[in-house]
Amino acid sequence: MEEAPIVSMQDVRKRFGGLDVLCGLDLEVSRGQKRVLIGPSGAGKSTVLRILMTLEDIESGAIRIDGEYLWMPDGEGKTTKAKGEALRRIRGKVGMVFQHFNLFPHMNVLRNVCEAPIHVLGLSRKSVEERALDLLDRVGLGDKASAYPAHLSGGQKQRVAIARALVMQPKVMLFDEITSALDPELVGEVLGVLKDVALKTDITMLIVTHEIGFAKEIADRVAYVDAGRILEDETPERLLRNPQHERTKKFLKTVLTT
Amino acid sequence: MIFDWRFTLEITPMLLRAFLVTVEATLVGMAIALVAGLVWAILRRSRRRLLTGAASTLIEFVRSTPLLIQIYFIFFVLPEFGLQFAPLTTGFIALGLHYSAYTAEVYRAGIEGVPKGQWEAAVALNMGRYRMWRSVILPQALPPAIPALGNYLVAMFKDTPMLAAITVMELLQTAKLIGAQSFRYLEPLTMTGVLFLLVSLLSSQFIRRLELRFAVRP
Amino acid sequence: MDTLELMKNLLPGLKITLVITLSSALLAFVAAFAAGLARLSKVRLLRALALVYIDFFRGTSALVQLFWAYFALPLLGIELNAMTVGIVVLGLNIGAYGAEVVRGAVQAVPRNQWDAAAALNFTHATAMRRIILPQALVAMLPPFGNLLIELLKSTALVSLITLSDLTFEAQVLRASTLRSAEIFIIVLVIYFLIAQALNQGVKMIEKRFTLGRDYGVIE
Repeated sequence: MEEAPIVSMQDVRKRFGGLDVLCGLDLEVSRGQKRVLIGPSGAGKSTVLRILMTLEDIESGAIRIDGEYLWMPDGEGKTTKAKGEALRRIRGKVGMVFQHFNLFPHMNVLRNVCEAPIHVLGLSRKSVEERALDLLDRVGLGDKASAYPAHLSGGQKQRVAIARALVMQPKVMLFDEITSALDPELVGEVLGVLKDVALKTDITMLIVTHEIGFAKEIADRVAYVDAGRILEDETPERLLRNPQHERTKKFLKTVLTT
Repeated sequence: MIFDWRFTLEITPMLLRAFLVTVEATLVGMAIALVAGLVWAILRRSRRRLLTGAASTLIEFVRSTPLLIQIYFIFFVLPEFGLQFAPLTTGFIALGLHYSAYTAEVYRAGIEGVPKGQWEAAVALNMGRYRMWRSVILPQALPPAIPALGNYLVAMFKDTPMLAAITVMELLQTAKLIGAQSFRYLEPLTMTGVLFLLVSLLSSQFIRRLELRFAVRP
Repeated sequence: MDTLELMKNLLPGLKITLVITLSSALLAFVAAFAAGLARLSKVRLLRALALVYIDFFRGTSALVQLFWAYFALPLLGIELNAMTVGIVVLGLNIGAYGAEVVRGAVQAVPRNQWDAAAALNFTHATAMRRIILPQALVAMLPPFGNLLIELLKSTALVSLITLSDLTFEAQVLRASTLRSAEIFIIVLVIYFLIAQALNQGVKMIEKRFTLGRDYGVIE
């Protein structure tokens, strides 16, 4: 028997002010998988990540993370969100890196990374700082530990944000267009770090990106999201070389030519 | 001792008459503040360093000293120099001048919000200083300032009880006198508070509407 | 009596003014945070209570509040001395304005900071304390500075409920010497200097809070 998926979304519907953002989306991600979501902007990719991070609510559908219900349907069309301890337990399994970094501007780099392990997980400052410095080394920022976010480049900020998410040792990591807000010359350094994480850890990764070439390199599977649904879900080679849907072909043509 | 409603009813007409004095002081004071504040604000944009410096210092001084003492100053000191005013007139002047220091800052923010290009355009059209202020700068600077001015109108209204200190028969002074004569302070003072609360709550609703209407810059 | 002697006569009043300013500032600070955070609470009752407090103290004039607490409250069986009335009423009055500052500053912290905190599994309370408030505090300081000056100015009102503060002593001295101009100019200048000192103090705190950080860059 196959192992149960670590993330499973079934028939998820989400509206934003009268607009259907997700219209019955299904998604299963198996343990350790590196899954990339591509698609036109406004298709609902980021919403999928924000829902999994518990930042957005849904109208209906079922969502399980690592065997636990984040959203449990009652069989009559309604669905309820996990609360209290359960919600915090689920949250603890998921980490997220945001498009706009969302670093804490009033803390230096080291504190940005250490704040949550110390005050959320209750770990000792000493052990956390040691691990944080290791992680900062790994993302190439060992010498920036005492700098404040405002003095870092966008690429550096995003690498701090990755370290900040990694230090919590999540089982699932969500990456929401983490290079879209960067100047072109800074994209490479962030993707390099991301690739390093993808190749050297067994963390399950969900990545929303417009970097198709990068997706090809690290993804186990690529899903094409359009108008609130997953239209195609394939290995990168197949999806990129031989898309089935007209819309997928059109999308790929526009991103690959620009 | 409990609240005596019949006594309250008895004194209400007197309190309402006094309330009219409070309103009068607020409105006249605000009229002075609106005009004087504009003068300060324009003086501060003057090219003469000495003038702008003097205006800034005066504004800062008025803003950081108690209104009560400014009232005393006008009431007790100016007569020594031959300037004697009735208590209520003193109140108009004191409230108006004190708040002109605040309205000046509001106008200044509004004036600074007018883009530089507008000043340059006025110069390019060879407008004189008066025409520039009148047709170009003020029409753009004033509307965004209106909600903030409204806030100061309410603040001034709540400062009018200070005029009791120089025997103006406004609401608080009247309530206090009723209290002293009848030995019942609870009813007149409570009614005074209620009247202030009502007007303040109503006017804050009104200002919220002004804010929506004029979509302010902070 | 020369000018120096006039000033000497004002000293005890100055001391009372300073004591009232600092004590009610402390009370105002506590009240501002309590009510400002209660306004943002998920608990409806807390929000309502905070709103009543804020509207009541902002809606009625400070002097009316002082008179009511000094003259009317004893008739309800609560008798407080003038000093207590002055400190409590002025502290709660400015605290109500401060509550709106606290609320506004907390709401002005970008939503993405809450998102980031949630993604790191912070509880609401810990996120508020460690992530949101430290950022909001920087935005609160300048308006707090203004309120402190307003508080200093409103301490002059306690002279009207018989407390012998600086303003009260000035009035006494005027009645006995009739040198109005001199006395009131001295007193105005003293208030002005205290206000400048308070301003500088707040600026120094502001500097300490933003030391090493640069908020000029918007993320």
